[in-house]
Amino acid sequence: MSEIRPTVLVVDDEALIARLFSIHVESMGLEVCATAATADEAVIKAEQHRPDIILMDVRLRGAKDGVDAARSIRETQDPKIIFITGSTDPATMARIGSHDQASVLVKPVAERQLKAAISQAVRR
Amino acid sequence: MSLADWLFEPAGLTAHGFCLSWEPGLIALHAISDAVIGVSYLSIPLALASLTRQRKDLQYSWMIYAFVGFIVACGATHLFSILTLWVPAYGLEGLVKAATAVISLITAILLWPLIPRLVALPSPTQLRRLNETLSSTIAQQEQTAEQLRLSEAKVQASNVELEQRVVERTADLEKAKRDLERVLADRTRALEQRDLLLREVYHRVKNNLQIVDGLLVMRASQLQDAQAQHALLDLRSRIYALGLVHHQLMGSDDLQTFDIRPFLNELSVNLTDGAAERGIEIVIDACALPVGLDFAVPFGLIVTELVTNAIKHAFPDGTGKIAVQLRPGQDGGLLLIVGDDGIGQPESVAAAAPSTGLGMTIVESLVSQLEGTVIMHHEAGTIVEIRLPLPVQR
Repeated sequence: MSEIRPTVLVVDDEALIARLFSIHVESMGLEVCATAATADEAVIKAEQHRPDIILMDVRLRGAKDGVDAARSIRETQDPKIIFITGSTDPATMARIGSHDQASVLVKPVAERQLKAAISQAVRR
Repeated sequence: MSLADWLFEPAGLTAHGFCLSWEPGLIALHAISDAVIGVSYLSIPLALASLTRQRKDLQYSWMIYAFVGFIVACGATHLFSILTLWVPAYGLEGLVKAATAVISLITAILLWPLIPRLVALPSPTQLRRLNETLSSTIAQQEQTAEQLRLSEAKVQASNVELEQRVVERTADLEKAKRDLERVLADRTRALEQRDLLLREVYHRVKNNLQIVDGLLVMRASQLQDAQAQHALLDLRSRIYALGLVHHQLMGSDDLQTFDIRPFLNELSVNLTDGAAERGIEIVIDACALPVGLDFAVPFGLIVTELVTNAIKHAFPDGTGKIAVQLRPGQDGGLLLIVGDDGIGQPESVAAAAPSTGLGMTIVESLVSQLEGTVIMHHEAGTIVEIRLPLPVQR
């Protein structure tokens, strides 16, 4: 009987970065259930797949960003969300900080940092 | 003798004309003279009384009334002298003279003490002079008042002009202040725009480096040749060093410089990822040093190469220690020492072939770029000493 693997939704508007993170996630034995490039797409994919963990890039194409997407997703489910941001300005960090139990990784994200954050999310 | 007799014909005396032998010329002379004197003596007091009544301001007017009485009495004596030419009324004339004497005496007594006071009264000439002086003073005062009015008018005009100038100057200053505030606001906006743009550039550089990292990982995963795969994955630490520089810059206050110490710590943690589990320890000992992009990029790559080299080659049995030191050098520059307690190599070999491998080629090129020098020692491990000039802050 195969073990049920935790599922991960990777949200990043840079397809190659999304792919890179997917490779790291899969190398840890987790399943990437979907990837999304916009906030709206992330909300839809999260609704469809109900992932255990979401790797959420803060800055996304379109009017909404990753924090908006996370807020919408949290209205119906409670996945572990790991925010990935290129900016550590106070406004962004304050918006991210309003989400309880969210991890924050700052780009450039090293492989070990990503894996450590995912491992911690899996354990929680 | 009856009183009437005493008054009008005492002791049977004869009229005074008898003494003049009833000489018509003498009688007429005396009678006319006394008549004129008497009438005049009655006229003068009337004039004095009239004057006194009209000039209410006259001082000591009671003295004039005394004179009026005195002169009237004198006039009466002269009129009685006419009467006695023909009637021997010497008693009555004597009484009139006695009354005149009393009035004259009183007037004389009252007059003398009054003299100093009358003398002290200003004369019309003095009063005229005083008046002239007063008029002159008044004229001067009026002139002065006029000058004062003119001066006041000038002052008021000056005040109005001054107030106008103050208003104009205030308006100029307010305009200058508004202009300055506008310039400042523009400049602040421009600076904010610049900061925003710089952050965006750093963000995009980091993002692009992350993409390059992804490309390397994906390409490496497709390679069958393990050596080629490692060669590609080795590049990731260099890419990470570049991204970390931009990350530090993006988080700095001025977006141009950052402290080298947290950068070195972060870099070393990433470099020893996986090595720590094998028992390789890295120790960072760095002085505080603000650096910019020009210095931080080659410096980060140098440290990356040296530490990666040590991890790869210095510890065949897997355990060991790598020390990275950055401190002020004796020559006023910087001294970077990256040493390990691994296997090392004989110094002669290093001297004969100092630039073996891509890593050392990169190190030497970057040290040269920073105008520094590099010396390697291979004793109980490998120690690389790099002397660098202090980075120039732009």
